[in-house]
Amino acid sequence: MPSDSSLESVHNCIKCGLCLAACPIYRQVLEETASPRGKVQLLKGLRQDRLEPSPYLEEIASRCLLCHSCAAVCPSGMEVGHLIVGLRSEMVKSFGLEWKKRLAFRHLLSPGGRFGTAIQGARILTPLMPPWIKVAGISLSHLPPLPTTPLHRQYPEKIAPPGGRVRASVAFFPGCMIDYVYPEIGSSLISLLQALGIEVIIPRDLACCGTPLFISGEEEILARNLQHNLEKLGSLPAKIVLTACASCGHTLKKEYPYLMREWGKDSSLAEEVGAKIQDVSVFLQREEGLGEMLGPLPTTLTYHDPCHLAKAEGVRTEPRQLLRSIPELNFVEMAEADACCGGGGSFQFYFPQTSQAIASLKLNHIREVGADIVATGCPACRFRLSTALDREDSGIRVVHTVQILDEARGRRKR
Amino acid sequence: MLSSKVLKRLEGILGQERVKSAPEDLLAYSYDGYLQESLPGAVVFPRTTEEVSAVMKLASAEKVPVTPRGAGTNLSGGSIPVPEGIVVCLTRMNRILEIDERNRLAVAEAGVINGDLQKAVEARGLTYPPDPSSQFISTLGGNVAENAGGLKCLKYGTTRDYLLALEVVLASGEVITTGSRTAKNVTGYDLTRLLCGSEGTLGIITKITVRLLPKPESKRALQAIFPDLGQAGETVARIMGAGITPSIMELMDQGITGAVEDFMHLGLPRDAEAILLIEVDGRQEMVEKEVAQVAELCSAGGASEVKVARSDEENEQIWLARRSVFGALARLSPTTFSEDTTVPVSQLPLMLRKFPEIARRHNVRIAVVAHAGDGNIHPCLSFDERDREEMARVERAAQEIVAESLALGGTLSGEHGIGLSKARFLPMEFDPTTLQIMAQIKRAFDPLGILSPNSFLSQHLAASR
Repeated sequence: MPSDSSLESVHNCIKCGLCLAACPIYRQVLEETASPRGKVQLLKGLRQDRLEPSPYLEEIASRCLLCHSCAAVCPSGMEVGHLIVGLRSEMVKSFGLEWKKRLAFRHLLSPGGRFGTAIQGARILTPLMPPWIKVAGISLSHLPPLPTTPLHRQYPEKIAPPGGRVRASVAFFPGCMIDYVYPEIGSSLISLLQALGIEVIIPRDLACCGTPLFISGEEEILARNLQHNLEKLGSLPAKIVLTACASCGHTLKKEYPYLMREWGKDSSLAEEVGAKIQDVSVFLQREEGLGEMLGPLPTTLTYHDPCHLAKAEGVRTEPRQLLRSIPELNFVEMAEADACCGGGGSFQFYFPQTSQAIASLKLNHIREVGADIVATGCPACRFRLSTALDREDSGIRVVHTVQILDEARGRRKR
Repeated sequence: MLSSKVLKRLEGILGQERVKSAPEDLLAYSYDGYLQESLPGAVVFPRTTEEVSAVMKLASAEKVPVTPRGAGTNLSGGSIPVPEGIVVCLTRMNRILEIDERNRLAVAEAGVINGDLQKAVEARGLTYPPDPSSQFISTLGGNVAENAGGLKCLKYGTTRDYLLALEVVLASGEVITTGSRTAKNVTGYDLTRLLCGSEGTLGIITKITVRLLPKPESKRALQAIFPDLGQAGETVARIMGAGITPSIMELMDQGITGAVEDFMHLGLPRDAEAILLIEVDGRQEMVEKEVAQVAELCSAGGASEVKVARSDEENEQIWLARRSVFGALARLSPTTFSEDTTVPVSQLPLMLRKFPEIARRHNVRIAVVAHAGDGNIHPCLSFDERDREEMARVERAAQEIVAESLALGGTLSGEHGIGLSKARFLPMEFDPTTLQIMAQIKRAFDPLGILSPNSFLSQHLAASR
């Protein structure tokens, strides 16, 4: 959580209002309390004792996607996302975590937590639910089919390429969404790496990266997850740890060292681990052998930039270059490709209407370019986009970049 | 607190969901882009002119002050409410009602964002030129109330020059319309132009009819580096004298260039006293011809280097420096205040020389960026508003800037407005009779004085009562 001295930066806000234009939520709600400037001013008021913590302030603080759009345009270069997390953590200090989150964080997302068991429960129960039960305004029948086996159980810890010739070795941090909800993203990545002669290690017993805890202002379990993962990842011999989830990648790479610093702890291990973290698109783009493996895929495809990849990490060109390298694929650029999809973690469940309105803008841009497929670099965006698209029975597929690359690899005439 | 009776009646008009009075809401509407803050008693979000009218009828009956507001990007404090007053926030009146290509006009509600209108008309090959730097978030209503300018004013003028008609709710709740859909109109007093720049004191603008132009076919930018500030100012006047009207002509002084370099590392020369950034637009052949002429005038005027953009990317590259100014300055210190003084173009070189002297005298940091072609100068003061002693020095420097500019035939504000920021300087520019007439105009529109009481006129209204 931001330290007291970091929170002092609220005084650097010059109240220019440029962040209002960039904020997807303000553009929907059109009220100052929904804007980044408003939240920063409220945090300032709270710190100056002009305002008291309240359930309403808690709601205001939670109405943020942490999409980094405001920080990208802030003339004062403020870390608005961190300040909003700071505001949330102030609320947690006053009121504690909401019970649903407290249960989920303690029992599901902590080290050794039972997220996998919960997903299995949901997989069995979901088809039995009546269609009027909705999550995020989405009927349960529109939720993605949940897998029977998480990724890490489908593979051994160390996956050697066929033929035994190991060109290189990398580790892969799947993250909860890929491990338990979309293991096929992981499978696609593994088969691409195998074809490239690269050994993959999926370390056992990783904990959730902590993004949901961090953005909720929770600190205690977060510190445990962080310590746990740093020890696991720090002890790996691999020099590169791949991520295919933009949020996991950004948290591991940037927020871990940031948090250690803010907590006044030694951040050297976190920096060292952070330096190993690499998004799959950056890694694959440098693999020269990949291009000749890809077969023709005559389809029209557009790319959605995940906020945590494009705005937070500056990774924009690599995924596009990879996708453009697929023969016969018609790559089209949509308008505002880096506008947030409206997911924002639990935001979509707490504010389904606003989330849906933001997602609809994205769907319009996707339809305008006539895409059959939307590729993206984050399972969380894939979830938000596909639940929104399925609701409209659009027939447009949402995939992770590595899935479409693997599909093209399968089309290669041997 | 606003009385519970008034709150109840507001809720009766708008429904609970569009009347806010929680401490969080009040704090979030206590400021705009200026320095001061003041808590209102309630914030309301009307959706229709009828609702605005009903709110004003109630406010009149109860004598409650009202401050209209759009996105709150006002730089002079005109949308900061008075304690216990009502903020009428027009952001939800955001429909573009009509784009009429044959009459080249558009009709929009006051809460429409400038940039959204631009986008909509550009899709039809037209353009709405006023482009304040807040254009992607500020509302048309706010733009009209402040007579917002922008970069392209040199050739295209300000918001005022594009207004055809307005719908306005008066303090009494009565609704009037001014102007017409015609290009020409000399019928009676020009209330449209009177309301434009009235800073919320005369009425709440609810609907706006604007004139549109065909979108220019092409544009081309150039960057000229001047070792000498005076020669840069002289060149601006010479370009104007040569009968060329660039769409944009911006000047950055050494302080600004240094700040931009620290922030962006664009490779601009730190030792140059001034950089001119100029853009010409229009028909392709004309643009080619004029940009060459401007380049020649710059070289002849003492520029050590002139770079003409050869592609859209190079155009963007040239403007990147100018667009980074605000960000570069905001990083220098916690608080940044952009002054807005304006002088006749021919006096620009003389005025530019004053700033280093003023900065030295008061030991403050002043960097200068100017819409050089129209004489509108933004000396930017960097400081920390928590430091009272520094604030006092900044205050004295600001006063001196005003005095120097007036002595050269200038004006207090070119485009940011007077509001709270410069109300005390008004008697330096206006004689008592002029102020008296303005107070009488205000009373004709708003006899109870409930609209924007925090306005530029407040002190003079009290004095002349």
